[in-house]
Amino acid sequence: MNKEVSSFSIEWLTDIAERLRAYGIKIGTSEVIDSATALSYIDPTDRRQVYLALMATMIKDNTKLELLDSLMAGGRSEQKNVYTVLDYDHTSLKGEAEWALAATYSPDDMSASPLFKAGEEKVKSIRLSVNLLLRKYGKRPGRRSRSSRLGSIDFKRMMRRNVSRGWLYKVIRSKKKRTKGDAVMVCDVSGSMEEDMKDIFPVLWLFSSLGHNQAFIFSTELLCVTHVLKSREMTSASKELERYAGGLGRGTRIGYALNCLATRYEDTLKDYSLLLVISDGCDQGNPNQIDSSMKRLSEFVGNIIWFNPLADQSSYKPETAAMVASLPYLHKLLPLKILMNPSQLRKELAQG
Amino acid sequence: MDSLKDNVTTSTLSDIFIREGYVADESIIIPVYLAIKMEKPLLIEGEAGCGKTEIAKVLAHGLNTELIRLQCYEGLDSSSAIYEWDYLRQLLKVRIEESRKTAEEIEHELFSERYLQKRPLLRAVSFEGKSPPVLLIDEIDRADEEFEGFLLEFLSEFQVTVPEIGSIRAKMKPIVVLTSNRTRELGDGLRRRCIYLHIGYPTKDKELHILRLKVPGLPERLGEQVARISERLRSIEIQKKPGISETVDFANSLLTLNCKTLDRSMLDKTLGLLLKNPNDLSKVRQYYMEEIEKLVQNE
Repeated sequence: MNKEVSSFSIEWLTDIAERLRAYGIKIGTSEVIDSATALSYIDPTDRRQVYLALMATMIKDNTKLELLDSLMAGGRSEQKNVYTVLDYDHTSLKGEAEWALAATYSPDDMSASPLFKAGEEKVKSIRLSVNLLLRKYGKRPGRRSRSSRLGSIDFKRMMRRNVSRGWLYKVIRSKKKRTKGDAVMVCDVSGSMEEDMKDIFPVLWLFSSLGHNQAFIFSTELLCVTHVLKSREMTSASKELERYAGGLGRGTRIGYALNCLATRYEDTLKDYSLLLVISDGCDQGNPNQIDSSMKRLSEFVGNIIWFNPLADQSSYKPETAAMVASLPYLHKLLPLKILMNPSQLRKELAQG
Repeated sequence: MDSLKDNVTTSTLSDIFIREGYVADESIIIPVYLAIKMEKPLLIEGEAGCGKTEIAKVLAHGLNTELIRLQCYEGLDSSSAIYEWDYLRQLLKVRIEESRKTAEEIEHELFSERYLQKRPLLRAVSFEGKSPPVLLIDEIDRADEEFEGFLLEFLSEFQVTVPEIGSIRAKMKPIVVLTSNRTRELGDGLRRRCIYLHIGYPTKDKELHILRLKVPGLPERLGEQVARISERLRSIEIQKKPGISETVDFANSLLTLNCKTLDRSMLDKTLGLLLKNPNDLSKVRQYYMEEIEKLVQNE
């Protein structure tokens, strides 16, 4: 049974490790090496044994075992059994072992889900809206821009120029530095938000491509996806995100996710950051945790704006426990559809 | 160790567990097998009374080797875990030999292995037997973080150093089993060095199987009732849920009391064997007794 672990298995293992790391599980190289060694000792055609070996050598935390369950089960794909999903080219796989590993994990299967498939017709208006928001809130109030609208006096250059060119006295000002927008977007991708994903995905994609912005998605876990959405093609970014976030559950834990953001990703939050939350506020977690997390986040960031797809209806009232807990800390609560309508957003932002 | 490492298979381990009366499915056998094969410590986490320590005992007995146990507690230091000098014998030796030998000669003799009291870690390292010993480091979460840090070196090198004698490296790497009840989070360093196994509460059928093995003579119906009660009690929000050992004790006591089937009065008298927290007892007696009684009666 002691076979050498092929490069295919190593690639597969590193991929699994990378995705587990995104969920905050600390997996070092030694764990990946251990997993590879463990795979060489067990029967890799036995899916159950592969799963148990990964549990013993990679996860090492029973509270996180469900993540491996969902990753190995093929994430959100529900119609197909993992063993029937074998879209891989079998001839390219060297042996039965690789065939079995392919059976346990197939990116093609994950990208087949309609969840992250989005239309491109609204991209233009969304780009405008995202830019509007960043221009209004996501700017760093740099010291130079604060001192003067013309720019501050550059004494060093002024002295040098005046002396070298024989000027009597001429004020030289430094150019105003245009600072990049620093904003964080946290987007709910739980089951209840599935219908709105075609609107949300372009927002996420455009948002993460601008400036120093950070994008996160959450359902029962929080996941940083900025690096995943860097692709210039929206469709390939969508596929990549689908593959990357395939292990997320369908439930919602807003408080937990916001708490993770405030603790695990504290360094991405700055006192001038704009925090955008996209969620319907339908939560399965503890509202007290939402309250404490929002309080903490409001201390970290400049403004918090919540986009709620349910608020698109005029009769909407924020009465869910999650929304009630969040409202005191929000700068604005806006409907999600407003992002597709830049002129309306401009009016809304002009009101302060 | 080489022979054990080379010869062990999942089926031989499975046979050992069956022979020793430990109900182990693949989820237990695979991590144990990997720990032996990869010569890495096995870290077992889980609720109290679910059979973590038992795995080490079963392995030692099944592999016909010695079980060396280090029980961890708050304040446990390296000297209690590795070695201590036998001061009384050393003193006696000095008194006897002071007229006959020089100071250097006496000193040389005093700090030799003869006057060394080997504690569990040193015993495991210097073990000389046919197959490697099983070193059980029990309830590691009770020990201080300093001790956990000290253990890291031991677990990666399998070597201890006695300044007066030198370093002693294990000829055969012991099978190390660490258990934790998760009263505190263990460090990442320790986790990284170990193969991980989590033992949760068993399913009703598995528990019934355990009862049949551990409590011979237990009537089938009574066993079914006991397993059902334990399963229900574990689903209630209580401070100390009954583990497998509590269920076995409960079944044993019912057998001792010559009980053929459970009823309300017997349940009232013996519930304390399953629930060992007064708050849990009063909560269950107040709110859940009728439900449990119905559960027991509905075969």
